[in-house]
Amino acid sequence: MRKLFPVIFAALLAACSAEEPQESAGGIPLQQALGAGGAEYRQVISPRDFVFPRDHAAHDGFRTEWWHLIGTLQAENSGENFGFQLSLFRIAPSPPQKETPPKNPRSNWRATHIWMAHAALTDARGRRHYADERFAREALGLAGATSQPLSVRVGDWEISARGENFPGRARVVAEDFSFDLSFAPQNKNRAPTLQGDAGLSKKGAAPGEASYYYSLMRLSASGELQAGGKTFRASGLAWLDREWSSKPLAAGLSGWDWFALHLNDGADLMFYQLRDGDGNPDSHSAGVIANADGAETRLTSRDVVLRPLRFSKTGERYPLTWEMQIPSLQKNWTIHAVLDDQKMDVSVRYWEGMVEVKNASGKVVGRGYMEMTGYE
Amino acid sequence: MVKDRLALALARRLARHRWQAALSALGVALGVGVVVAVDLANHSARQSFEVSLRQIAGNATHRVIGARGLDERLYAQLQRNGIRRAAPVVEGGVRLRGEFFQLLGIEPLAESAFRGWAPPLNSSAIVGLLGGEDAVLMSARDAQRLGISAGEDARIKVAGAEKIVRIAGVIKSGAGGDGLLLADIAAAQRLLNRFGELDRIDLILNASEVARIKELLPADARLVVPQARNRARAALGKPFQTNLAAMSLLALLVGGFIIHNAARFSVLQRRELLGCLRMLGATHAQLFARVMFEALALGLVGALAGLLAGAWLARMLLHLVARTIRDLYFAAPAGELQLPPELLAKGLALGLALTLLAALLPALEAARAPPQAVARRSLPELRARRELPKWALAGGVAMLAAAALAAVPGGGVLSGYIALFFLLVGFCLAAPLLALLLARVCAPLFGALFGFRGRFALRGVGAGLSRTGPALAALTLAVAATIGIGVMVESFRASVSGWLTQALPGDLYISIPANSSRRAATALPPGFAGDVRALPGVAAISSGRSVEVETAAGPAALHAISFAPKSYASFHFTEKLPDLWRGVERGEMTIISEPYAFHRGLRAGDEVSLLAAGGARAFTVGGIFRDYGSERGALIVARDPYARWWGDDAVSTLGVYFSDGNDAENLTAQIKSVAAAYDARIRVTSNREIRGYTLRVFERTFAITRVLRWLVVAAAVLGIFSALLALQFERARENAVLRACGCTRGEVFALGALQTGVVGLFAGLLALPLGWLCAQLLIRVINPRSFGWTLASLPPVSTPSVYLEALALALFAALLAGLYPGWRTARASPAAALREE
Amino acid sequence: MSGTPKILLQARGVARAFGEGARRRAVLEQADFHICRGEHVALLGRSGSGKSTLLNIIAGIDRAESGVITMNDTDLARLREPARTLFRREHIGFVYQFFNLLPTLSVFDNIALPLQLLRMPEKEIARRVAELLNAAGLDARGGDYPDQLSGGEQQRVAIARALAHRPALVLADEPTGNLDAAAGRRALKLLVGARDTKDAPGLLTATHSREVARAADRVIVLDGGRISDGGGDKQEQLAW
Repeated sequence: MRKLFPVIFAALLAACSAEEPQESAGGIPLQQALGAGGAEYRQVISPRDFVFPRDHAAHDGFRTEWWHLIGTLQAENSGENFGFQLSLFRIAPSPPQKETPPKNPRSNWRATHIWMAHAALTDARGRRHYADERFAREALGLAGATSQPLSVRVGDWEISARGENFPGRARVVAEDFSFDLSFAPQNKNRAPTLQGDAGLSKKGAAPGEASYYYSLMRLSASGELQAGGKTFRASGLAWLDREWSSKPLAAGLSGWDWFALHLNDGADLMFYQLRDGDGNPDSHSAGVIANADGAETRLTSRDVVLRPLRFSKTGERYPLTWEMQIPSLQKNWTIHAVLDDQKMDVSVRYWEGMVEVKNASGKVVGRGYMEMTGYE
Repeated sequence: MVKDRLALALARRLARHRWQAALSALGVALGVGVVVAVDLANHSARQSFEVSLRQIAGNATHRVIGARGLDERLYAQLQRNGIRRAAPVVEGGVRLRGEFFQLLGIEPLAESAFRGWAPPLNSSAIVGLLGGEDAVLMSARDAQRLGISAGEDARIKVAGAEKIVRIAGVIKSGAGGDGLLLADIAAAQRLLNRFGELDRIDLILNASEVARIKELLPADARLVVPQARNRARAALGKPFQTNLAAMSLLALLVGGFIIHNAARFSVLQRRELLGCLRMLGATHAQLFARVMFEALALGLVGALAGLLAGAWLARMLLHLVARTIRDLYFAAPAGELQLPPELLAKGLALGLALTLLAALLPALEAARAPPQAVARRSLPELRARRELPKWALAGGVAMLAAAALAAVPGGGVLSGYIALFFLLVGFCLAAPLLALLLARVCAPLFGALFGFRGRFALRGVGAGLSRTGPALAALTLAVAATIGIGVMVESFRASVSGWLTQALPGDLYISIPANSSRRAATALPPGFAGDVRALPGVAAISSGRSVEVETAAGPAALHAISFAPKSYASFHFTEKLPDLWRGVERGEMTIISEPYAFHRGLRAGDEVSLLAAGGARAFTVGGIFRDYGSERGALIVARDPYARWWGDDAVSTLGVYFSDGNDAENLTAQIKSVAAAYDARIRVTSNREIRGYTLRVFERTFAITRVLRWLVVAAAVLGIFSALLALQFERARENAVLRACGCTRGEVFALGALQTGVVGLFAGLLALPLGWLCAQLLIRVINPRSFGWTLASLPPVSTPSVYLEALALALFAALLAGLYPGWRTARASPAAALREE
Repeated sequence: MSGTPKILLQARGVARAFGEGARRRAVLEQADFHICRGEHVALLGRSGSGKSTLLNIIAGIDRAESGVITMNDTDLARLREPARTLFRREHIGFVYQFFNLLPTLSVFDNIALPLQLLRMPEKEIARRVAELLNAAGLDARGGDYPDQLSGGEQQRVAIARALAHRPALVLADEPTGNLDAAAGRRALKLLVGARDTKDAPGLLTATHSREVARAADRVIVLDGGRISDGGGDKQEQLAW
């Protein structure tokens, strides 16, 4: 009997159900979230006519579309520097033709698109970066882009038109920060900049590996923001990027580094460097630089040489300081992240934050934003 | 290890009678097994019920619910106003492969904060859900059990209609989700036909948001805290489970008797050994410790065996318990049997404690063994006889205590069970004395019937009382328990039956099957009621609408009824205000069922507040009526006021009253054809069918009681068996003398059987009054205090079968138990017995 | 015997009665006697005269209703449990007419049990038991069980058990009563022979047997519940 006892006891213990560990839901890389859509989606193949303000609204049939609003502000009284970001993504999880005709199309919750929104605020002096996200489906007025009135909204985060201006106003209320800003184009007569080839921005060799892409590169911004419990009135410059595509990233590419810079001499520069699996720049990297009058010069991967100088200490090793050289234009800048940790710590992982542009002698010659994906 | 010669001397003698040791261990095993089984089954059922409630609730701190369902636009409004952490829910019950599942419609984009066990956004499962088809997710465990894999189509039954869903994926085991089908809210609305509505919105709110949201809610929506509601819901099953647990303790009690008996026997049988050891210098304490140790060792073996048996039995019981809970509370299935170590340890401790207690007296007797060289057999008997009156007195006091406890009004269920316990124990303490008196009384009768054999048998009972006493008490206990429960069940059945007759005055009842009991039932097509009424031969119809409404104390079942003339008589009121029906028709009064009144502590004249479309409305309780339909209880209001204030004039049930002198069959067929003309699953049942169904559910609910009853009786039979074996051993000499004097084997067997029969008969006779008392306690005290029901108390004459059955059971059990010992006695060689000094 | 015999046990006024009320019977009324160290005293008396009762009282198995019994400076009559049992365990050995061996233990273990109760180490127990078995002429029978032995052999084992712990006093109740003549002589030799050692125990035998009485140093008579503490004349008693 004595020998049997431990056996029985062990059997009893083993019978008690063991808890299986829960799988941790990690973040999603940006490319995966945006994803490549199949052939059933509308493809970006040929150039198109851009009509404004109509094209500020949404375009059906594509897999992904976004409104990407960033800017740098200075507080009125104290002169503190802030950076803000509001990115609204519209995603079609299923391609349009593939939708089975709804059997009983009565539920108001049926949605063909879902929205993802990211908002961020960088407090340079307080050395803090705030970020938040929202998800909503395009149903019941929970999210959507409307033409009349012109408004793009996810929950209570919104980019709306004011009068003729789009963007005219952007509002974000998050857990520990908020901003409510008004915008106006610096130069009223300047048309939106069509990126790539008249708005068709190639991202890869295969057809469809491209997006329709335009930007409003220089807007004046002003309004109120709240960070760390304090309210500020601030003003500065802003930038709106607009893209829609069904294959925003070619197969074989791991991510991109994107720069939007406002230079003190009135010039604006946009450049995206695509990277392959080994981290080497891809030939489809491209950009544009526009001077104060609005004259634009296309940039290709041969024109711009980017070299990362300093990396973050964290595992992903984001490059936080870059050297950007445009020999043909005698530009030699270093681009510095104002704050090291401006990672977007939301469901999708990437780095996006405020940067300063310095010339060879170390003088600040501009401000802007950079976005780096594919390092996770 | 040093040889403990004292222990050896005693233990070896014990080994000669292994059967006693085995029986003793078996007794513990049985008692512990039943207790552990019920405990485990109850625990598992309760756990999974709570787990399922919790996993549905998730991390929500608050919840918005409506009078009848929320407008879905409220969700968008909340979002627009900055209430970010909100999750809309649409839910309903469906049947998949015959099993009940909760279909949970959610917004996957809002879920991550709420129900962490739902798959993350990037999973293909969620993409599948949003894909727009009728896609659902189910738990891996359920999928495996039902043999369904991801990607397959499955048929489900919703509100009687069949629909096809696609299993888009499975949720990993251990994360939760058992008994659930997860769907996108759009799909759920379509499957459950709940367009435009939400069942609730789960929220995670901080303090400032709580204040803000109250201004955003419409009048008919309310903000509640889920945890409290879940607790209240889970508490509903408690009385049922308490009853089970109490019954299981009965088995433990009987098991204790068996141990006691076996220990007594082992001491008596080793009296000479013990005396010799005392003579040699073993102290009281040494012998006491030795006997206790032996008992504990057996108790440990028995308890461990009991744990194993209990775990096995629990699996079966869980099925029964879960089925009852599902039948009564429409909850998610019970999941697997859990074996929490604390419960097993508790069972073990209980078994050991029982052994200690039961072996205490015999061990003391062993310690007191006189170190005489010659055994004086009659000593323990004489002592036992002398002490009988003392025990009987103690028993009487206990029974009085029971009466006192029961009589105190306002006591809880627990005091009711304690009273029952005192009653049983008290009677059992007095039982040996009563048996003795009974023997004296019966002596002349027996003598007349059986001659000297009868007198011999009777005297034998008295003479062997120290051995047969506890066994007699155990059998009495078990049989009384069967009587008590049997009478209670009979009276319950009679009450339910009588109630059904009264409560269903209509000839036919028409309804549409509900998709779950928690939400409004689907309505009968408009115009249908009128068509039925118009048929010749239909004298009148009553119509009703059954919904779940919010009261101040949580959800409650509400029936809005438009009465037919005969309907009024179908209520049996225990309390009633004057002018009741007028008050009800005017919408000022409501009538409530007994259980509802009991649970909320309501009397006629009190006020009840119900959440209607325009806000809360107050009703006066006009009357309290008997209703066995549900132990949650229900409220009844008139249909017109209900339609007015809840904006719902749909009808979900009809009661049809035929005119006299009509061909019922013909009329029924006509009504059925009218129903068939509508494209809806209308169900037409006769009141006879409803009665049949109700009684079937009733029987099922008491099935578990029957199982336990038989276990208890089995334990008692074991007790008798061991006692008789002991007796046979003691009587070896006597029987040998009988044989030497010329009695044949058959005659010795017959004598033994007669004696055994007397024991059984006495146990049965004593069990009759005890059983009746138990029944009274159960009917008048325990049942009302558990559920709030008043049961008809039937006089014994109306349930003669229960008593006769019990008597026969006692006799039969005793005779059965006596077969083997009697056979051994008859077979024993007289020479061997006579040879012993 | 050399020197003044020291008194081992002194009993005065021991009384014991049985039964209740009308059926009360005084078995012992006034027992006065003494036993010296190493002395063999035979207790004679008719059957039913209370000899066993007296022996039981001395052993602490029964209690006297009045009187004083002194041994080792202890009044046995005043002792309560467990002191009585412990006293008996250490200082008294008992031999019965019907042997009273433990049937579930071997011969060896039967003898060893009292030693184990006294917490003697196993090695010493083994030695002592072997010694006793030898004296009893049962060396090879250590592993047998009582039901394998004849009556005489069983009694010898019982005597060995009683002597095992070198008690100060040995009580024997009709030790040869159940034995034939030859076996009885052998048993008696074993019992009485122990007194040849120094520190010999006192021996009180209750008996009918002439042999036993003849072997005794002194005879006392229990008559009508009384023993008078006289030296007594052996011959006189033997005539009875």
